[in-house]
Amino acid sequence: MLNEKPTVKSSIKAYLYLLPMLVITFTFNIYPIIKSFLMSFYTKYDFYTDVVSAYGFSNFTYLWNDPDFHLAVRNTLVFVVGVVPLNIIISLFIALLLNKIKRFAGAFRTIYFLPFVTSTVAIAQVWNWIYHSDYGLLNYFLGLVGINPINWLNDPNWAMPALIIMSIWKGLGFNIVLFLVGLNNINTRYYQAAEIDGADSWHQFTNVTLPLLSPITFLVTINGVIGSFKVFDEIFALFQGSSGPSKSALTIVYYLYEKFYTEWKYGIAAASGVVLFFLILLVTLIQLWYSRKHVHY
Amino acid sequence: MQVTFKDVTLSYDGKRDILKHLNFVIQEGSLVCLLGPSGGGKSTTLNLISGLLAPTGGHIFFDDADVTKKDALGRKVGMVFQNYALYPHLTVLKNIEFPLKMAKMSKADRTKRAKELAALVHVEDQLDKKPGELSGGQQQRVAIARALAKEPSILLLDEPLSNLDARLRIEMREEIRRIQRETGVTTVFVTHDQDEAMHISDQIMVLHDGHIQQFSTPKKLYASPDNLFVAQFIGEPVINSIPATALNHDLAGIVPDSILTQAQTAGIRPEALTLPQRALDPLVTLHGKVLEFDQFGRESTANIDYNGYQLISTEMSQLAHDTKELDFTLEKKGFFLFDADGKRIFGGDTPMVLVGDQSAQKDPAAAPTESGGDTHAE
Amino acid sequence: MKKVASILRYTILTLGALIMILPFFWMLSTSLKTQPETVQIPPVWIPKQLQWGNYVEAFKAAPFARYFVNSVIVTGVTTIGQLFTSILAAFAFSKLRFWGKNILFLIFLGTMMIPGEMLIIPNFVTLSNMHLVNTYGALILPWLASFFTVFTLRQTFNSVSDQTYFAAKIDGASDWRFLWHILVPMSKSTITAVTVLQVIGSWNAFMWPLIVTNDENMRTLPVGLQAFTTDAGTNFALLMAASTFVIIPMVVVYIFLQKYIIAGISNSGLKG
Repeated sequence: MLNEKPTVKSSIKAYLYLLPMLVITFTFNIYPIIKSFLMSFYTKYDFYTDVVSAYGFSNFTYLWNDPDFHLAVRNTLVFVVGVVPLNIIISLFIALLLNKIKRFAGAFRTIYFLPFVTSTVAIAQVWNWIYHSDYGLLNYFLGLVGINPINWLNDPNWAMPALIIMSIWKGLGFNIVLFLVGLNNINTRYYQAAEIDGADSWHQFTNVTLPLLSPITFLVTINGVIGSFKVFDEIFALFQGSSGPSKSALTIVYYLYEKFYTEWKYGIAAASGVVLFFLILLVTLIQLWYSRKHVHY
Repeated sequence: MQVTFKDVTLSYDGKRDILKHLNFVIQEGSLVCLLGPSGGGKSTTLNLISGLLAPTGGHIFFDDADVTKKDALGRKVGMVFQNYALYPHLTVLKNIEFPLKMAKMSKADRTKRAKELAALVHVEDQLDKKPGELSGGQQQRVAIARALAKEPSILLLDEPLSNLDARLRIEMREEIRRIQRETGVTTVFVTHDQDEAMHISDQIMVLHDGHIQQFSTPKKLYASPDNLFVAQFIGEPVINSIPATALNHDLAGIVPDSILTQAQTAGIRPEALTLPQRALDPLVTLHGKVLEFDQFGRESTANIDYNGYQLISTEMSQLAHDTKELDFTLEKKGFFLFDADGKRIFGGDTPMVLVGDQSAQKDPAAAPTESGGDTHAE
Repeated sequence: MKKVASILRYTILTLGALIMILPFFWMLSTSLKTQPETVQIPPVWIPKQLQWGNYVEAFKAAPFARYFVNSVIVTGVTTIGQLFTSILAAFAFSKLRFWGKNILFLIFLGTMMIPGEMLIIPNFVTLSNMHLVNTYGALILPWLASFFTVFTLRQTFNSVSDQTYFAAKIDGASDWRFLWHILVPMSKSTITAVTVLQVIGSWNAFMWPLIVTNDENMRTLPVGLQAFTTDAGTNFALLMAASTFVIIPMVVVYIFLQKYIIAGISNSGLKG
């Protein structure tokens, strides 16, 4: 009944509906969250027996002093800064163009979105081939305009740009779709009003489109930043199971993977996961704080 | 099914009562409207009858059975919701069949029954359409058919016409009346539109402030409002209400002093103010100034200033439009006095005891009990 | 002016589309080349003779059939299982009354903040202790529930009015029947979108399958393909052929169910 308070009976029934989901999420989400925070304080841990003989902060001090981890954090930040703004600018630009045209808009959207549904690993093999220093398509095109071949995947200076280019290519479609939704939701009356007020198309863009699109831009930014912080598959596949030449593409998640999977240092790996979490949290909070001043809901 | 409420109280938060000690009986086979302003408790009352809400106190009976603890299914009610709540992914036929399917009726039987109902509500040519392809009126018809499918103990309609446009609303209310007559199912209908209620109900329950203000036939509601709220809520144009003291001078010696001293507000139906030559059953003659005339379609109203109060009359269309001052008649029928609590103490079906009126004293039954009906405003 | 602007728009969009499509084209083109053609400069855009044999060869060079079956099983069971647990839970959160509803919901919302990569280590430990590493169990179990899916479905279920719920109750439908006969069919498009996105996500998943499968027989397609890169070495034709058949199934899904995917992205993006 409408005004019925939860009773024993109705609660039991509801929990029966929730049960399968609860069992799985408690085992594989809630418990591991707690556990990974705890693990970051394990300093002596026997994986086979799951026995912890010592706790402490040494995992975090290790990270603090590990040049590899510093590199991983720096590379991650470079990756985020390299991918997110460019991705947003390009995808907004494409979305604006798509929003203006009538014919083939659907076909264009289909093409731009295609990379999103493809396996990162598989398409990274293709990019690996495109980036090939001798026979790669990219160096061939660069050669046509007189640029010397670049050793994209083996030169530490070019590995990160190669990763960034591929990631932008792959992520564009997702943001274009979101921007298109945002643009569709802007009532044409605002444009009519702006036109009556004498705004030219540039002023319409800066005074109507951008402010009204700001919630979507904010969302796309948050999505992009969080996703980019966690980059892993792209690196593993593009650099054939390594973190790039001279670890030039070593990111936090890649670091976590190496510590955990190849070096079996669970405590340190867990600690790097905790650092990742707090970094993401910090950046998200900064963005939220910024958005409260600049996003027009 | 006869529905009885005994001392039913409802509170959502345990502090403030939405409904206070409701007592009423809805007769089997009747069509009852729950009428009142929004927030007055009409939908709440309907949901209490349906079993979607459980009362905080009191008992609800269907015939002799106490159904207070039963839910909607247990009470076997049929319900039509304001937004119809048709299942958008099912065809009209499947929508009507749904309750029968849930009751495990065989496929052949339920199709047969659903088709009969579709014919009853005149949607037999829409059976294979989805609700989204139907007009509002047709959706309404399907919703009624679905509610009737399981032969409900009682049919409940929650503001069923509020989503329709004005013309369709009139058509559908006649349809609801027809369907109710044909099936004979006890029907309770919530509306905030007095016109709707007056046209189709056997009885109207006026709800306001968690109380039943009056529960009677439409005629009686108009001719003998129990209180000032009902008098003001029912009738178009709205009843003139002025402080009783304004009439004291003119009524002295006609209405007994005992009543006049208690009276706080006087209610005068616009048609109770008429020209002396057309008066049927005059109470007293008053004097006033004409302020203006208004004409809306075939209706015309005159605004009269009486002792500094504005009165509206609908009976002065013949008056020359340059009339400045006039004597006019206050008819007995359509004149009420209310006390400080808003209770009617004079007029309507209260035996009209006038000063020096011997016949009324001898024979109170001669008082115009159900008389308002023939003049009640369209 | 208007015409010039329009031509400019189409030119830019076409150029962009070419860049987007080029890697796919290059993949297909290379996969059908002879070994010498792959390293020819200037590049051969369309091979003289299409070497369909590359696909056969690539398919035999590694147990791709096995990987394919594994991927189908893992994707299928994960998607169906997750859908089932999520529909039940979303229904409870949307229409049922129970103690602890709000707290539970908030806890789950909070967990969505945690990067999934953090959970890999403890989950690996849990599954090792259950002796499930290198089994379908490890590949599937952790993904049988997703609060994100629950959240999306709950939003959709909430948009079905309570009146409809009451109408069904009055019509004699139990909660269970209401859920499967009314609520689920009414939410068909969201459920399809969620399903398709889940299929794509599962099919393309890499890090988790990489970690829980050492055994070649348990690899999914992306992990198998990654392993194959070492064997293929510089035989790019074979590698591209293998990449093609990892990509093709999802492209087919995408082409047929595009509108649901786009709708799903738009919805989850806007609500999430």
